Amino acid sequence: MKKVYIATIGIVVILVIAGIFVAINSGPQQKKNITLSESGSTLLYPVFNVWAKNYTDPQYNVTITTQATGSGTGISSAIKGTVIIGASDTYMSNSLMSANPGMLNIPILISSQYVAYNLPGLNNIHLNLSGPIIAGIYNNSIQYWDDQKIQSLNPGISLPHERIIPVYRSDGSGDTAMFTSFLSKSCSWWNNTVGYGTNVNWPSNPASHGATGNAGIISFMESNPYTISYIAMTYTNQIAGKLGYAALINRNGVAVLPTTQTVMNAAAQYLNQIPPDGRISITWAPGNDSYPIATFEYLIVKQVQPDKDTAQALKNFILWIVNPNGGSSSKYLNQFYLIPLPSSVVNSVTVPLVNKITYAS
Amino acid sequence: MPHKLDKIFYFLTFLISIIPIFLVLMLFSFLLYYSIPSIKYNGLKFFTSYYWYPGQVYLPPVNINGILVPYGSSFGILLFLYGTLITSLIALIIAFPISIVVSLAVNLYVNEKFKKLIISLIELFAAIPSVLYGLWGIVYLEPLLSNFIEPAMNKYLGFIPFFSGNIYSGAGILASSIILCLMILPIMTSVINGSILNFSTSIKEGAIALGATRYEMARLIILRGIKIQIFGAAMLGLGRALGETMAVLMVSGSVFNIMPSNIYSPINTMAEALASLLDSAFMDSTGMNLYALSELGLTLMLITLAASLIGRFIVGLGIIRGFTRGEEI
Repeated sequence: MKKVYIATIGIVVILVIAGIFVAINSGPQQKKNITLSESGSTLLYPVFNVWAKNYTDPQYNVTITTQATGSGTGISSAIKGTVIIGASDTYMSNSLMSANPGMLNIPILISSQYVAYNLPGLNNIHLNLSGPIIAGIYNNSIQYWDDQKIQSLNPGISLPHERIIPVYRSDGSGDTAMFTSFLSKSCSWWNNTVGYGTNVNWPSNPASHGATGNAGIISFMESNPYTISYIAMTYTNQIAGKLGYAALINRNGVAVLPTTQTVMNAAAQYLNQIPPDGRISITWAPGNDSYPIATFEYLIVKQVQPDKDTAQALKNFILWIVNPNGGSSSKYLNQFYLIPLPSSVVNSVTVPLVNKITYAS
Repeated sequence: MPHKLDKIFYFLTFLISIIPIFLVLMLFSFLLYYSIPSIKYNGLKFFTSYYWYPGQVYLPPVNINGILVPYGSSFGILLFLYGTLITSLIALIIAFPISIVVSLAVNLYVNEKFKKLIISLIELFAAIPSVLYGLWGIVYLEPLLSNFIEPAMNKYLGFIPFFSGNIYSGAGILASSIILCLMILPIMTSVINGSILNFSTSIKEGAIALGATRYEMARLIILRGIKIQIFGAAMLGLGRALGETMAVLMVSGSVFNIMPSNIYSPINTMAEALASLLDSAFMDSTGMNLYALSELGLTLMLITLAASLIGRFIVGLGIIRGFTRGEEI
């Protein structure tokens, strides 16, 4: 009998707590409460948290919840409607779009990545590397750092005769999508055999390793010399002084270092080619000063939102994100090495897409 | 006439008690249902191929034998299956003698106070989250293995085929096995320890009275008497090792599409592959990546269930027999 009493008391306590919780949240307020749930890209997760903390909506009392689940999960959750915003490092494929009409891919930012290595003694030097050479390293046809192909791009640098250990992301990743898109466009062997996407048909290489997340890649590379991998620019501070990174041979045959400027140059090359639905790959850009790896970051949302207020709050939030005085100001983006969209892209692509958001009547 | 409350209570407890059965059946049928397209598409190749090719999801899907799949996709779990079994087996081989020796030592050779300390420490080990084992593996174990232990093993044990060859990093089969060994030691030790405690005192005393040394008593009487429990403990440990995800994910080297050539090679396991491949599977509009992962999950579930059931069955058998034998005397 005692246990029954304890159970009863337990239930009463839970009900009282729940009651208090509901009372607090439903007290009389002037602004309407709206929750915008976000899930997806681990790359965007840190900046989303900062946005969520600092964003205030003029019309609504908006709460933004964030989850770092991965781009694929973000897209899937947005399609199923379990979250309002799916954050993704890549746009949805044609077949995914035709299977799920009514989804919008809204570009909000530009991000890029390093091709990094751990070469003791040479980490302060930027080696020149090209797409075909990196593809050769991953498919095991280039096995040693002093391979003639690498040496010829880097005359005068004494490279060690050590086995190259290529590292990739074992989890699905927008970084993998960017990296493999660059390799697909610059190396036909890669394009035909491996392809591009958040996870690919990785070549068989006995020296290759996988790691989870950018943090996992960095920690593996730090403790294992002669590794090479790709790391999001967001992690600039974490690799500084520990790993070196390469200047990549771009479409015009020029070796270019990854900087905010060279990534913006790359994006600028595609300005006139962005389709109205925003889905475009901006790797392998022409131009002498364009860094060949870059991508738009996307918000994946349903065109038809459940109600008027959610739709309006969502529109306000996205427009704030791409506003250079709002979410795209340097105080939010610089710390994560993210690059704001050029205003021409905001005006010609992002805003029209945001205006498409409606609600079920 | 039972009290009304009693009836309600009986009904409620009955309802709640069938939840676990319901959950297992639900999970099983869910996995089976989602596996069907993969079983049709991959067939037996699913178990004989080690290539896990998610395919090019950004290209239009292709129709193969009436099934829509991503271009260039094919799914084989041999590498994951091999990784799961080899790391669990090596972990078991290392943990087996250690857990027996520790249990015998605390019961026969160590004084009461120290015994309590050791047992509670072992129990504490079981409560440590697996991610901490993984962290220790990355920070401490991997460099230790790649700088000292693995080169030494290569040099002195290199005559054994699986122990010679290239060492690319500390992450791989050996690191995963050691981490798994640490994780299954507590459960194995406490089961064996429990069996020794339950072992009839009068038989032990009888052995000593007949002039047996402690060593002879341990080897001839106790270990023989609890043979079945020891086997059961090993199966329980195996069950835990087969399904472990996080810790192994951090130290395995998470490799794809290449079979390991030696004990230092990077590897991938079923649980780990399931966790890391799920996100990109959602990018596949045909769903085949998800179906293939479901079949992977189904295989893992069946293997783990089998190991766990056999273990429990044998331990149960042993305990009943041990007790009756104790009572007879």
